[in-house]
Amino acid sequence: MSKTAGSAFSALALPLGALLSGGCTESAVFPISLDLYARGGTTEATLADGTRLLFDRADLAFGPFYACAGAQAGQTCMAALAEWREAAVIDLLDADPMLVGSLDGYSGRALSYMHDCGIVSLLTTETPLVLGAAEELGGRSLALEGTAELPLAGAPSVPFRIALTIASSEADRGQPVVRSAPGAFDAELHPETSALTATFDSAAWVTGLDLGAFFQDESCNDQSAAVVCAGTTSQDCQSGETEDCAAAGQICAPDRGCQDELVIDDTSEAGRSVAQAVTLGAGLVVVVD
Amino acid sequence: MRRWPPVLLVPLCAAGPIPALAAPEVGADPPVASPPADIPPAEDPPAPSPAPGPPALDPPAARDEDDAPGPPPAEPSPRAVTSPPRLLTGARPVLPPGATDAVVELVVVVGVDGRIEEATVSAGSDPELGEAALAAARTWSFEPARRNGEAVRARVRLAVEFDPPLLEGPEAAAAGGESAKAGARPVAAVHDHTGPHEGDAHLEVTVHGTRAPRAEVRGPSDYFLHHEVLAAAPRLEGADVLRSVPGLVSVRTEGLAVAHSFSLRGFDAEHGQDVAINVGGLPINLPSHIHGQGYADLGFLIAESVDHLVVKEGIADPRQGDFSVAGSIDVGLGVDEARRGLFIESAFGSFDTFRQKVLWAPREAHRESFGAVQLTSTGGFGENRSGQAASAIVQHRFGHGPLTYRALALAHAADAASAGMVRKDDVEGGVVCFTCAYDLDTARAQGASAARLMGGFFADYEGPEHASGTLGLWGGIDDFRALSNTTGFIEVSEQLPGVSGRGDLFEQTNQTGSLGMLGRYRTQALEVSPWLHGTVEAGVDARLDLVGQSQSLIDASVHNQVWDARARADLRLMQLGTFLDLDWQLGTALTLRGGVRGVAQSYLIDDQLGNLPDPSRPQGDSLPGYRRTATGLALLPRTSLEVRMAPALSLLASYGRGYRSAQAAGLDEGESAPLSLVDSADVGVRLRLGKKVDAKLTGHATFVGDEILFDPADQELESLGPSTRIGATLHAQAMPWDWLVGALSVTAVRATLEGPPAPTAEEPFPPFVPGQAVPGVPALTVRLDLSARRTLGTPFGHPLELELGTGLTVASERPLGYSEATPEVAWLDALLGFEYRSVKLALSGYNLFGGTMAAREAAFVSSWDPSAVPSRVPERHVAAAVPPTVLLSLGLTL
Repeated sequence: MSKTAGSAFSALALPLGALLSGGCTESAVFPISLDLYARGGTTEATLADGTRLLFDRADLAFGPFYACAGAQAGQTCMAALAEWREAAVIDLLDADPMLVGSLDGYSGRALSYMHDCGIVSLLTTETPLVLGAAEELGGRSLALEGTAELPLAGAPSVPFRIALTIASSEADRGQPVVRSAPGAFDAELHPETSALTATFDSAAWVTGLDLGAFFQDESCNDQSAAVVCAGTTSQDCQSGETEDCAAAGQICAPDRGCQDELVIDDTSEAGRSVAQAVTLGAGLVVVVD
Repeated sequence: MRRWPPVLLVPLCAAGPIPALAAPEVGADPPVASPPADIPPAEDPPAPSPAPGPPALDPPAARDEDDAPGPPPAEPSPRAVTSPPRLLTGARPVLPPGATDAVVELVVVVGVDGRIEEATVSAGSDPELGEAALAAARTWSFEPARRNGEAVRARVRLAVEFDPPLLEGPEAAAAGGESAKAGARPVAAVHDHTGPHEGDAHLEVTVHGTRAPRAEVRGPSDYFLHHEVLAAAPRLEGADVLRSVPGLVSVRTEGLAVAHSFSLRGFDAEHGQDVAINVGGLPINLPSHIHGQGYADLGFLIAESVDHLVVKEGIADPRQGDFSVAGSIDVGLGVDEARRGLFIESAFGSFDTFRQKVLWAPREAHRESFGAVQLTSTGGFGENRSGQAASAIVQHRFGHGPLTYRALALAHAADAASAGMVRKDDVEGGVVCFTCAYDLDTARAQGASAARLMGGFFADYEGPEHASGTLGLWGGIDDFRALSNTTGFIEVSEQLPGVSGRGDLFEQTNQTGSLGMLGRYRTQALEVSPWLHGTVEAGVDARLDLVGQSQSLIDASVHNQVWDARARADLRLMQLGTFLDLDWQLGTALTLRGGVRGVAQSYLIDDQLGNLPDPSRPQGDSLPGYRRTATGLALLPRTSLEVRMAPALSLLASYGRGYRSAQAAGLDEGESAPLSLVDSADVGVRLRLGKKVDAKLTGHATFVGDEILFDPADQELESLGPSTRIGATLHAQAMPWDWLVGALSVTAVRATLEGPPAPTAEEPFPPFVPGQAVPGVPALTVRLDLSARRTLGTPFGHPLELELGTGLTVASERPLGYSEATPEVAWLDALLGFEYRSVKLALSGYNLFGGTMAAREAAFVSSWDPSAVPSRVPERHVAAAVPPTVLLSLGLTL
């Protein structure tokens, strides 16, 4: 519409149009744009058996994030209230909120949320999309490192490294991996809302860990693995060779032998339990400021 | 009501020996002819009196304005009659709509029994007037000519002057004016086609060219749009004539092969769900169409074949049927005398557009007789918008006397690509241009193809004293297929577990076979008392539709593989309507019309995908399919009132209840009364100053029980609950001078949703809330049609005509979901034409304000990058409107 025609029309018609439509176009839905923050603050965790995990590093690939109007996030959140479609690495040791991006969408009451951990399941491909944040973590969603102090007198500190890939299963293809539980979230998003903050507690993910599986006092037999540990002594069941791992400042890991650190990854039961805890949103609190 | 024929016969001053029959004064005995003149004897020897029955009437002779006057009459026979025939009784001729006052000369042979044995038109203003004159002449009886006291056959020439009948006695006095004086010369006829004439409460003129008058324009928001107004602005397509309808906005949103999208009077009628459209008496809306309830594709329409529009906004006429929610539009087909002949036009223009038209309307034939063909081809603007279309319309009116017939056939085929809708943030981000299509197979496969064949045969009866009837049969076949992807890659297969992301390209198919009938009869004028008289009309209409339809998701990159089925059904739809209409005059100033319409609907739905088990669960113990039936009945009152305050000023009011049939696929077993009801009330005032000005100011209120809206994401109609509309319309047509015609309309409406669907688990974030404006509807619509035609000069003795025409539509912003709204828009079309002898050269411009105007906007979720994080927040999407377009046309009239 030309400027001339538009000006003439606006002068004549807009007041009448506003009179006719004002109050009728008024609705509870307004565009919004909020600051999205993420923070941690947990530096250690105590396991059920008393083992203390002291974190030297706790990095999480956080994002994308969606706020939903329905009480059940997931399939019913095909139209989200607001979204942030990127991902960032969150230092979970830092309690200070970190601005990760802008949550854009529409006002309304959000009763649930959902997010990914840097790895996004797409409807269009079988291979999930690894975002930059996850690539910073070596293609992983979560990286936890530190030392584990076993509740045994005189037991050495055991370095550990947890590296997990957290993504939706094929059955949930196209849905973000973390979906809030019903009733866990209830917030009004409106143009005056300034920010939304997600606080992660990494301790909640590991409290269920049982590191006992990683410590073994066995000898070779017909049913044992290739390498067994008798305390800190590694024995190769095929060659029969033994090695004192402690003498080298290492630990003895079942089936692996002497290792610099305890590695928990996607292949272990412990790793899967940590991933499940993350998926269930354990320790995650999302609040509106 | 029988009256003496009004001023029919005037003395022929220069006819030589042809006897002069003086005009009978109203209320006086028919005078004896002036001194008898010699009359040429009948060419045939006197024959026995013909057998009882209507005499054969020759069809009106072709009139050629260029013919030289005929030879002088022969010398009188020595055996001259001593007294010519004397007119005794008979019906007055009715001036057909669109005709101005005129004189038609008849040559009749009056038999010895005083009845007309032969009648032909020797000269007249147009063939339709001749028909009207002959029809009236058939009812005349004469005192036969006499020779020496013995009755003899005689041929006489009569001049028939069309006039409105005069009032007598108290009625004349009440009407006042010149016409009230007994013996005064009658006022010349000025027909306005919209109801009773000034001064005559009984004469009502139909607008379909039939000679049985009926008040087609009865409600405050009813309009008769003349051909002059419809032809004022250039029309890129035939359907663009509807842009002259007050308050209507019409745009192409999905290419040449998909129907226009309409909004009218606060209703987003989509492709026709809220506007009943009839063309030449053929109902165009298709019930339960997969692409939209009441789907009405007017792509077949050829602008030059449209004679007039009868627009009924609101519901005041018992004849209005299904889909008359905002109102109804009756398109009258015909070619007036000035345009008859062989017309050939070729047009070339922007975007490789080519259009070829041929229209043949034989000059000697009836106004409604013509044939027209149109071929269109365009490369389309932007990307993925090429298309071709062909249409043909043939109509013929034949027969004479009280029973005439009309046959009509139309055919249409179109195939066009479509760019669909693009995300506004993608346009702003440079991902895709405003007129482009996404560079993906699933986006570039969008398009549609359509084909339609319809025909009808109608018999029209015109009896004495305005009695009339119509009987009609019609049938049609429609085939439709559309491919549309509006959401990109967000769909998941419901039939195949784990299959998703293959592109949301929906394929819709719809085949409809229809058969229908209609009949109506209107009594002659009934007089209860001198101050109370009127007519009663009853009618019935029925239709049977057999529909086969499907909706599937297909993968355009793999030979259109089907990866999900969303609908597959066969429908049998039966609708029976009947109406009773009373049209009564109380005194001279009050007309009360009203009646009731009854409707019965029956549905049989064979849903082949119903009861389909969840594929992720173990196989159940049943087979897919859900066959069900539903019926509906309704009785719908309609009434209107007209109070004539003065000959030029009337107050009008109306109320009516209308309905829209349900989308069959959404009905459950045994569901009753599946009709969406609407109540509409209108009040208004009308001012008519002859043919110079016809203006109306109306207010209206409409309450809809169930608003439906097309969801582009789901590709289906969704219910939005009840809605209310309150508005006003100003409409004026004017022809202040013969060379200038214009029409202006301003429509303001406030449309609100009263109870849109509340959030549910499946739809927790609905786009609408109570009190919100109805989406897609502009609050203010302005339309201007203006045309001027002047003679620039007469080079080589022939006039060189200049024609200027313009059409301007302005619409205020339209609300979308999620608090979005479109900007205000304006379309300007203009024409500059020169006509010299039989050649016409014209330059037409369309949408001259142009720019990046959107034909369609909506807010919904989509994801168009298959390798990126999907968006889940509703985003605004746009489909570009046609940019400024220029066509150069060359026409030849033979």
